[in-house]
Amino acid sequence: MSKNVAVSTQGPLRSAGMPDPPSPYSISSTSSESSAPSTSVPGPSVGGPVEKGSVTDRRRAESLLVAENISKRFGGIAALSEMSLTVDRGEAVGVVGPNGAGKTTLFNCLLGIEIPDTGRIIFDGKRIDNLPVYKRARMGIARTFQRLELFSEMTVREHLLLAQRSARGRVSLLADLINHGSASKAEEELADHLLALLKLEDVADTAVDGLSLGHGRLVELGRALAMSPKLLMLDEPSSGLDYNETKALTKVLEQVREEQGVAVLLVEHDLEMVSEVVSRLYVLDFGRLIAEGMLDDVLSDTGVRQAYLGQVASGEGQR
Amino acid sequence: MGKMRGLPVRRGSNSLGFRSCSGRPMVSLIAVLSIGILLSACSNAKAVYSKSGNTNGVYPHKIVVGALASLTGPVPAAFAPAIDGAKAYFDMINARGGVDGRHIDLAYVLDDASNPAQDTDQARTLVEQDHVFAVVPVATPSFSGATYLTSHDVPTFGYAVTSQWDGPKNLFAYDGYVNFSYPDPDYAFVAQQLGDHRAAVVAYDISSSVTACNAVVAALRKFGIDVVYENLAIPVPASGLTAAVQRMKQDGVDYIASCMDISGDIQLAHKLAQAGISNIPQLWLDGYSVSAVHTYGSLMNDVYVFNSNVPFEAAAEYPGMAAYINTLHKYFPTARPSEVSLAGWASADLFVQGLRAIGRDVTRTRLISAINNMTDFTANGILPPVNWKYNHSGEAGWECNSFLKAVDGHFHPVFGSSSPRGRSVFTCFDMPQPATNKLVPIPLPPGVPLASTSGSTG
Amino acid sequence: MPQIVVYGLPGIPLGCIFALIAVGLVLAYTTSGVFNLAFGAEAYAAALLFYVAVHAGWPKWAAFVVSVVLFGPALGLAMDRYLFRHIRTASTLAKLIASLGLLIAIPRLTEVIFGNAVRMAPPSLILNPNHIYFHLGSYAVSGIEISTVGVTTAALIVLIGLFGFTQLGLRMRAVVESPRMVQLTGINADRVSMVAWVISGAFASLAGVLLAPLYAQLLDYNFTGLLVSGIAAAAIGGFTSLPLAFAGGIGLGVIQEILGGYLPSGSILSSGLQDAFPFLVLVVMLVALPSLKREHETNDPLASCDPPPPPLASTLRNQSFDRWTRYASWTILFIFVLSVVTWIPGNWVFTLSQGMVFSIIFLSITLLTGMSGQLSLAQATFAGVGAFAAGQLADHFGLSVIAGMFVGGLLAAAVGIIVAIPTLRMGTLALALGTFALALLVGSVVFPYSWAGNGNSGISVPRPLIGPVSFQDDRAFFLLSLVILVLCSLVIIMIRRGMVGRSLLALRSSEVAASTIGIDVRRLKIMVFALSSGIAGIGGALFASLQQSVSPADFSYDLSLLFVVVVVTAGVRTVEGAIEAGIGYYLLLQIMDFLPARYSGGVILPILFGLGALSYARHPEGLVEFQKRVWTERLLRLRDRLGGTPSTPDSDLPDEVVIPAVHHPPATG
Repeated sequence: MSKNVAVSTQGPLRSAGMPDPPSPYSISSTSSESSAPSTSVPGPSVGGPVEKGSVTDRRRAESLLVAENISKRFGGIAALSEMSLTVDRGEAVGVVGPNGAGKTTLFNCLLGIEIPDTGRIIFDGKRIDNLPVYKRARMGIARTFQRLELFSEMTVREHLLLAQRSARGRVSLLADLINHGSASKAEEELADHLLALLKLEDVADTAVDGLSLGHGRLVELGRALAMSPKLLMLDEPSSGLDYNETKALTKVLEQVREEQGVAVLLVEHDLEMVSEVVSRLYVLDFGRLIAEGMLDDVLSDTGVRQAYLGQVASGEGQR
Repeated sequence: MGKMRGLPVRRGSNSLGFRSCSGRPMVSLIAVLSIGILLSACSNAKAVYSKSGNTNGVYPHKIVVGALASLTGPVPAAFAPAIDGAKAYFDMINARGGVDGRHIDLAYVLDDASNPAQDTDQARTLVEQDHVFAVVPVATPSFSGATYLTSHDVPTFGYAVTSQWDGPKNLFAYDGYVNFSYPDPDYAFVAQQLGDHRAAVVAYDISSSVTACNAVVAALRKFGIDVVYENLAIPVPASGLTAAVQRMKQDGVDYIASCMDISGDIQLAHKLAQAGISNIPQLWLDGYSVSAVHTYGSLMNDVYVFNSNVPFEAAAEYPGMAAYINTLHKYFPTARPSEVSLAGWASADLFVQGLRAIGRDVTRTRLISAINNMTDFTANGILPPVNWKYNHSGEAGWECNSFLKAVDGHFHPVFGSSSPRGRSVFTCFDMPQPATNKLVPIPLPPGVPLASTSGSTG
Repeated sequence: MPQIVVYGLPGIPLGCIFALIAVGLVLAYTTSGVFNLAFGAEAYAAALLFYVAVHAGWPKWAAFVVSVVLFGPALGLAMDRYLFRHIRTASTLAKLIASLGLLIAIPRLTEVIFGNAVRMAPPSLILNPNHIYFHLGSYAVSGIEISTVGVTTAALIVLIGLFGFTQLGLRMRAVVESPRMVQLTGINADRVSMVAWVISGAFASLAGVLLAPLYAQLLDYNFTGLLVSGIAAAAIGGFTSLPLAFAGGIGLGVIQEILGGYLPSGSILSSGLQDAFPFLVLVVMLVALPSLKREHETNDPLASCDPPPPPLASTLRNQSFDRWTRYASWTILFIFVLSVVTWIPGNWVFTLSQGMVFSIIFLSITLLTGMSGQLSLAQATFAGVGAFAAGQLADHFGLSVIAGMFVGGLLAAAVGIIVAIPTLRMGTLALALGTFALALLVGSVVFPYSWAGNGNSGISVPRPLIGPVSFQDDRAFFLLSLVILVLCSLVIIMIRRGMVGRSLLALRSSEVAASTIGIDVRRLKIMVFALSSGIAGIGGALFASLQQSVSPADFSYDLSLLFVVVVVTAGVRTVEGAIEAGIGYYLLLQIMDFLPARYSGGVILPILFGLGALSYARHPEGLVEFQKRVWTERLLRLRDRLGGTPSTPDSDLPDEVVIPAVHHPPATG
C-alpha cells in the first residue's frame, strides 16, 4: 500500500514546475495571497518571468528555494559546511542523516533563526539571507518543529486563524479595536477546510495544552498550511509518534500535497516515511553533504546505505 | 462576526481589512467626530469650595481633632514624635479642665506612610468620616491633603516641610511662614560671624534638598561670600563625598553649608576628618539632632545649626521651653525632646490659644479668623512672635532664629542678641532684606522671648 | 601623587561597596538563575538584626553569630526551600517577580517586627569605622574603608575559588543551565541550589553588617538605594563573571569620584551627569551585552519534563455559572454605582475613585506583563509623564485635562518607545532593569524641573468640565473615572480577544514559532509596550486631576515596584485582576486605618502583596483570581449537591488525552 502511495506522489513531483493543481482551497488562498505585497502570485513558473536579472541560471530561476554554500560554525564545531540545496516548486525533497548531522541547523539557517556564516539563500527569485524570520515566513516558508512549539492556551482553530492572519502581516491593533480582529469568512473557511483535512474537527475548539503528541503534530502542520506556504519545511514530523500515527501523518501529508501542490522539505529519521513522501534526497553527515540525488538512486547507493542509512534504519528499528 | 462580510473574491486589498466592511467607516467616522466634539466641549472646572460642617467635631464637653502624620513606610519615624508633642500638650490642657469646659480629644491619628495618594485620602477620612473639627498636628513630607483641607476650610496646624503650607489662610505652620527658596540671611550669618569668605555648598539630588541649597547659594552670594564649590547632586544614600571634600580642600574652602539629612551630614564630617580639615565650620540645615550630637560627640565640633525656636539647651532661661520638656517627659517618659515633637506641641498650643480667643461659640470660620488676627504668637515664649495677619504670605517684616554650635556632644547657643530690655538667644533680620550685602541683625523686635534668669526687664 | 589618583583613590572603597552588591547579584544569578533584587533588603535585615542585638547589650561576636552565621544562611535557606527551589525552571519573569516581592516585603516586615525607630550610628563589626589607620600618599585610610576593601576582596577570592576550582561551583552552574539534566547525572539539584542560596544569604548578611556603619542611620534605602550602581557593576560582568563584576564595581566607584573631582562645580551638566552616570553605564551595558541576549533564548532543554502548570483560572470558568454570575455582578455593579452617587461617605467615594484610577494604571501592567510577558518597573514614571503633561498643558494653555489626558498618554507612549527600542530586544531582564534605571533617572533628573513636576511643591491640576457638566464634585468625578476605566478595560479586552492578543499569547509560548508564522515579534512588543505606557499615562493624568495637585513624590520609582506586586498578586492575566488590585488595594488601605498605626495599611499591605507575588510562578493568573476559582468550584459543587444537576467543568476536554502536546509527562525518578 505504501508503495502505491509513493508512486502516486511521484507522478506530479517529477514534473516540477507544473501549474498548481486547481482546487477550491488553492483558489481561496491565492485570492487572499494577492494582497500581500511581498509575495508574488504563485503560478506557472515554467517560462515565467525571471525575477532579478542577476539570477541567470535557468535552473535557479525555476527553483523555489536555492541555498548555496551554507556554512555555520558554533565555536569550534562546524554544524554545516558548504551545504547547497535546491527545492523546485511543488517538489518534495528529503534531508536525512544521523543525529547531529546538521539537519536542524540547516532548517534554522534557511528560516533565519540562525544566521549562516557564509553562503546565500534565494527564495522565489529573491535573496532572503538578510531578511528576518518573520519576513521569510510571510514570503511563503512555513515550518513545523521537532519539539512541538504550539501556542499554549490557544485552541486549534485559533492557531489556524492566527497563522493565516500573521502570515499576511495583517495583525493590526486597529482591526482588533474595531471588530475584535475577528476572522473573515474566507479565513473561517480555510480553517474549517484544514480542520477537516487534518481530522481535527473534534478538537477544534480545545486548547492545545491538553492534546496528544499526535494531534499536536497535526496542529503544527495545520498552522503551517494555514499560512498558504509555497514551501513547507517539516522537522522530524514522525519523532515521538508510533507506527500508526506516523502512517496517518504521512497520509495527511500526501493529501495536502495533492491538493495544494506545496513544495516540501522534509527532515526525517524514519526512512519509510521519507521514501513515501519525497522524490529527491540529500544525505548529510557531520554538516557535510555526502550524497544527493533521486530517491531510488541514493537509497540504492550501497555506500550511503551501509555507512549512514543502515545505521539509522537499525536505530529506527529499535525504537 | 465573519458573516458580515462578503466573499473576498477579487476585492484586492480590501479582502480582509476592516475597510471592506461597508458599515465600519461610518462608525469610526462618527466615533472620531464625537470624540472631537467631546474634546472641544471640554475645559477645566474652576475650584468651587463647599464650606459645610463648620462645627463638626464640636460637642458640649469635647472637641474632637485628628492628626495626620507619616508614621510608617520608607521614611523613618522622624515624623511620629509630632504626635507625642501634641498629645502631651492636650493631656496637660485636659488635666487643667480643658478649654472653656471642653476637653480636646485627639481621637484619630492617621498614617499616610509618606505616600501622597494616601495623604489626600486620610485628610478626607479625618474630615468626612471622623468628623474632626481641626487637624492637629500634620507632620508629613507629602502633604498633598492640603488642597482638600483648604477647600473645606479645616483649621490645620503642623510641621511645615513643604511649600503647600504657604498661602492658604487655614494652614498654620507652627513657627510661621517658611519659604524654602528664599535667600535667607541666616545662611550667610554664621560665615560672616566667623569671618569666612570661601564657601562650599552640598545637597542631595532630591528636590527638597536642591531647593533649599539653591537658596543657600543665593544668600551667600548676596551677602558677599564666594561660593567656590557647589555640588547639589550627591546621590542618596550619600556617596561621592570624598571627591567633594578633596575639591573643598584644594579650593581653600573655609565654610560649608549642607542641605543633606543627618546621615549625609555625618558622612561629610567623617570625610572632612579623614582629609584633615575637620575644623572647617559647617552649617547643617537639617542637623539639629540631639541624639546625633550625643552619639557622634566631637566629630560634630564646629557644626552650626539654627532654629526657629528657643533651643532645648536654653530651657533653663526660658520657662516655656522647660514646660515643654517637663510635660513631654511626664506623659511620654521615653520620648526625647526634638524639633518635630516641639512642632506638635506648638501646633497644639496655637490651636488652643485660638479656641480661647473665640470662647464657647466654636466654629471653624471663627477659629481661623481669630488666629489670623493674632499678632504675637510665641507658643508660650518658645518662638519669636508670629504675626498671623501677614504670615501666610511671608510679609512679617523680620525673622528671628537661634543659632547653636556643637561642642563635644552638646549644642550650645551662640551669637544671640541683646537689647535694652534684655538678652535673647534669637538673632533677627529684616525680611525681605533690602538688596544690600550688609548683613546686620536688627534690634530685637518687640515680643521676642527673652532669657529670664539674668535680669531681664520684668 | 597625580591629581587623578588623588580623586580616584577614594573611589576604591566606594567601588568596593558597589562590587559587594554586584558580586552578590552575580552570585545568585549564576548559581540559581534568579536576579535577586532583594539582595539589598536581605543585607538590611541582617544589619538591623545586628544593630538590635548590639543595642540590647549583646557582645558583638554574639550579635555577629546571630545575624551573619545564623540569620543570613537561614534566610537563604528559607528562600530556597519555600520559594526559589520551586521555580527553578520558571521563566525569567517569574523569578524577577519573586525577588521583587521579597524586595518589597522584607523591609516592611522588619518594620512590623522591630518598629521603625530612628537608629543612629550602626555599630561596626571589626575596625573602628572612622579611625584613621594609615595614610596612602596624602589620603588617610579609615577603618570602614579597610574593612570594606578587605572583606570584598576576600569574599571575591573565596567565591572565585569556590566556583572556579571546586566540584560545587561546576554543579551550581550546571544546575542553572538545566536542573533536570543535572539530576539525570545523579547530582541532587535541590541540594546544590540550597547550598547556593545559603552562601548567597550569608554573603548578603555579611555585606549588610559591614556596610551599615557607612551611614549615620540604619535605613532600608541605604541598602536598596545602591541597587542601580550594583546592577550596573554586575552588568559590566555580563551578570555572570565575578571578577568582572568586581572590577566593574571598583571602576564605577573610581570614575564616579573622578567625575566628582573634575566636573565643574555647580553646573547643570555636572549634576546631571553625576546623577545619570550609573544609569548610563547600565543602559549601555544592557544594549551592548551579548550574554544577556542569550538569556531569553536559553531555557532548560528538559524543562518540558516538569509537570505542566495548572490551567489558568481564567480559562477554567464554567459557562453556566458564568451566566448566572454575570447577572448578579451587573446588579451588584448597578447598586454599587448608585450607592456611590447617593449615600456613601465622601472619603470612601474618593478612595473608590482612587482605586479606579489606579486600576487604569494597573491595566497597563495587565497588558504588558499579563498578556505579553514583559516586565516594566517604570509604570509609575509613565503615569507621572501623563500627569505632568496634562497638568502643565492645563496650566499654560488652558487645555482641558480630558484632552491633556490623551496628550499625556501619547507622550508617555513616546517615552516608552524610546526606552523599549534599545532594551526590548535584549529580553525580559534587560527591559526590567532598563525601565528601573529610567524610573530612577527621570524621577531624580527630569521630574523636579518646574516645567515637569516642579520638585517638592508639585503642580496643581484642575478637574475637567465637559460642556455644562463639572467634575469638581467627587461623585461626578467617580462617574468619569468609571467611564474611563470601562473604556480602557474594553480596549484591553478587545486586544486580548483579537489577533494582537492571540499573537501575544503565541509570543509568550514560543517566540521562535511566533516569528515563523510571520509575526514581527519586535514590532509587536514595542507596540504593546507603547500602548501600555500610554494607558499608564492616561491613568496618571486622571489621577492628577482627581488629586488636584501632584508632585514627583506621587510617582516615585518604588511605587512602580509596588504596582507590579499588587497587580501580580491580584491577577495580572485578567482585566478583573487589575480592577480588583486597584480598588482592593486602596480600599484596604482605608479599612486598615482602624488598626493601630504599627499595622496600618501602609506597612501591612506591601508585606501581604509582596509575599503574594511570590506565588506568581505557581499561580500566574494571580492569587486572588486563583482563590476566586477555588471558591467558584466549591460553590458549584455545593449547588450540585443541593440541586442535583451535575456540572461537568471539564466536559470539553477529549477523552483520549494521552500525551500532552505542549508539556510532556513528568520525568520519573
